[in-house]
Formats: sequence, structure tokens, C-alpha cells
Amino acid sequence: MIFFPGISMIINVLIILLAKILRREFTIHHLSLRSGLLSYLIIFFIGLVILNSAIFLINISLTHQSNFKILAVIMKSKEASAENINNDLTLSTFSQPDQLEELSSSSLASLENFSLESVPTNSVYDLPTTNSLASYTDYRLALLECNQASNKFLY
Amino acid sequence: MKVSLLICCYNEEKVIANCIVSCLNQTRPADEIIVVDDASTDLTYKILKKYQKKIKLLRLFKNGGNKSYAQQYGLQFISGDIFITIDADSMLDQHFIERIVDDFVDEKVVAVGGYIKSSRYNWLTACRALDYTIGQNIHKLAQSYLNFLFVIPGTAGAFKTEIFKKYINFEHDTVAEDLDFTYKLHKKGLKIKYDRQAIVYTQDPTDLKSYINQMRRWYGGGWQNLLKHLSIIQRPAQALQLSLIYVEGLIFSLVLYLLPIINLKIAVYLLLFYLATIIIFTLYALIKERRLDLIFIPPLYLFIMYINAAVFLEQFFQTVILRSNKLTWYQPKRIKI
Repeated sequence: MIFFPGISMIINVLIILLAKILRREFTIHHLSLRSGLLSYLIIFFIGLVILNSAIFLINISLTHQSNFKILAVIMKSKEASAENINNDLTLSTFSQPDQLEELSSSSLASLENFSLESVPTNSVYDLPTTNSLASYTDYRLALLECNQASNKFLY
Repeated sequence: MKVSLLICCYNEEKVIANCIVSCLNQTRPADEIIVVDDASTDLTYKILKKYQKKIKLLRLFKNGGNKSYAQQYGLQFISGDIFITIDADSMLDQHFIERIVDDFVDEKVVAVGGYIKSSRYNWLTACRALDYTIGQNIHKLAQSYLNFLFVIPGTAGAFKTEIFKKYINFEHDTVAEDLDFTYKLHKKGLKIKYDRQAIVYTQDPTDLKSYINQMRRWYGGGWQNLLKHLSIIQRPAQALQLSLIYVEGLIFSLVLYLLPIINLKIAVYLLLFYLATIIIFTLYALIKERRLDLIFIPPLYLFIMYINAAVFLEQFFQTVILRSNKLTWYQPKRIKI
């Protein structure tokens, strides 16, 4: 007879350990077939719960990892956009507000284009394609924040 | 204490000589070696005749289609206090009889189950070696502590002749005769000892077709005997171990095949879990049996696990649901090792 690797393995290992500790053979007096099967099923479902929990934890950690990656990319893109804005703004000195007009038309155009609707969902900031609603929302929120920050800075 | 050996063979020309030699080279020699040739059509009988002075050679002129017919015939000629059954494809360790005789010193013991090792040949025999190591050192050991040895192997079993003839006997209605007499012994509440030092080397199937056919006989015979001796589950230890074997076998086999359909992701995780478990088992077997060739076995064993599960379900369906009696004795292809 070939045995399958499962709960029977765990139960039999426990029996061996118990027998080794007690240093003798033993008999089960209070276990009927019904209670035997019941305990088997209980252990089986506990096993399933443990397995599911393990899968859940693995999933969570994987999601966190990917979220961290997305966050890192967003932060990088934020820094990059802020740097661009700063570069553009250093062209004009704010000591003289009227010189704001000296901002190159291209810079202004780029800032105008920096709106929620005009920004494509990917590629501009080298962001990965947004697969999930959550990461897509994060991405859009980050862009909005970026936009607001640049507007605040300008006006 | 007089010891008899009972060997039944059918077309075993490639292996029978090794078996006889191993029986003759014992530290405690057998008092009688009875060999029943079950109407072989090859050179088996001719080879056996060479040992005629050292063995009691019997011959059946019609093959019964089940080993139990030859065993029943040979049993009539046994005169020892204890007798040992051996398959023709097996070889005894030189201390085997010595160990068995020691085991029967305890008067309560009426039967002893030995320890089987698989002869090395290829990846299939290595998978079987892994099965034997885990099955015998974990499951069977636990069973022996509960005084419910699931099976006394047909190729490594020893019995008190008088009790066997009186209560047990060989019957022909199942294809796993060893399970049949083990269950009968349990039903009588007789004591069976498990001796891991009484070692027998056996030849397992070396090709996939033979392997599947042997599994069919084992699992089919298992279900047949469970139905035949259903009252055995009234006792607690038996109930626990049998539910572990059969309920788990069913759940495991169904999960293995149905889970990928229900949820592929969980199925993959489960498979990885099984792979990890098999790797741990392999390491254990590698140390225990000192067999380095087992190191490559885990992925192959995973494949074998699927085959086992499929055959287990097939035999459940055929034997339990359809109540089919199509199973016949199957002899795997032999090789000369």
C-alpha cells in the first residue's frame, strides 16, 4: 500500500513521538469510528485554514512589494517633475514677478498640459502599466498632488 | 522452534535462483524450504530442480490465476512451528530467519511483519524505495505502536502455523491476499509484531506499465478487503488508521485533480507544498537508507503521486461503486539484477 503525504503523516508522527515519550505501546480506548473521522475532518479543515492563511500572507507580502515598487516610481516621477518645474522656474527669477512672462512658451505649455486629463496613463513618467484600480488611483492621485504643488508654486 | 519457508512462483526464471540462494544462506538456517511451482511455462521448474536436495519442490499443473491457490496448496505440506512467506522476486537478508525466531520468543506474538527494501534499478524503483522508507518508518511504525499493523507483507511475513491453519488460511476472493490474512488476524484480536530489522529485498516494477498494473492490484485489493472485512473498523485503532489511509487517499486524490479546475493558484501553492514535503522525505530516506540516487527523485515522485492518485480513484470507482470483479493477478516484468 502506498501512502499519501498528508494529515496521516502528521498524526502518525505524533503517535510515534508520544509512544517514544511514554516508552510503550498504547491503545486508544475512547476513540470511536465517528470521533476518529470527525477529528480527521477537523484536522483537515484546520490544515486548510492554515494553508489559506499562508497563501493570504504570501499574497499580502507580494502586493506590498509591488505597491512599494509603484510608490518608488511615483516618488521618482514626482521628484523628476518638481526638478523640471524648478529648472523652468530658475529661468525666471521671482524677485521680479513681472518677469514671469519670460517663462518660455514651451515651459508654460508643458505646465498647462500637466493636467489630470491630458496626462496619459503611462509612459510619460516611465510608470508601469497600471493593472489594478488601486495602483491606477494612487498614480492619478500622485499626479494630482504634483499638479497642485506646481500650481501653488507658480501662483 | 522449527521454521519453514514457503515460496510460490510462476514464471520467475530470472529471479528464482537468487531467492533460493538467499534462503539457504541464513545465519539461522530454515528447517524446511517449500517451493510451489504454480505451473510455470518458462525455465523456473528446471532451475528449481537444481536445488531439489535442499528444498521440498512441489508443482501445480494448472495455474490458478491467483498466488493464494499455490500458497494454500503449499500450506498443507508445512511442518514447522512457524512459517515464513516469501515472494520469488525477493531475497532475504542473511539475518532474517534469526530475527523472526527471536520475535516469536514472546508467546503472544502470532505473526511478524518484516521490513522491505527495494532493489536498485531505475527512477521507478527509487520512487518505490522512498515510499517504502516513509511508509515503513512512519506509518507502519505508528501502526505498530497502536497494535494495528495495516498489512503483513506477503513477501516478508511470518506466522504461527497452527493458528494460521486453524483461523486464517489463504482465500482466493481478493487480489491482495496479504491484506486478507492481516485483517483476519486483527479481527481475531491476535498480536502482530513489526520488526524493522527483519529485512527483505524485493524487486519492484521497472517500467511504468508494470507499475500501474501493480498499483491497480494493490489499491483494488485494498478496497476489496475493506469491503470484505468492514467490521474491522469497529475497533478504535483500526478505525483511526484505516480512515487515515482511505479517507485521506480519497481526499488527497480528489484535491490533486479537482483543485486546478477550481483554483489554479491554490493548486500551484499546494503542489509546491507537496514538493517541499517530498524533498524533506527524500532527505530522510537518503540518510536512513544511505542512497544517494534518491536525491533526484522529488520531481519524479510528484509525477508518480498523480499516477497513484488516479489509480486510487479508478479502483475506488470500479471496486466500491461499480462492484466490479475484473481485477486479476498481474505479474510485473522481471529483470535479472
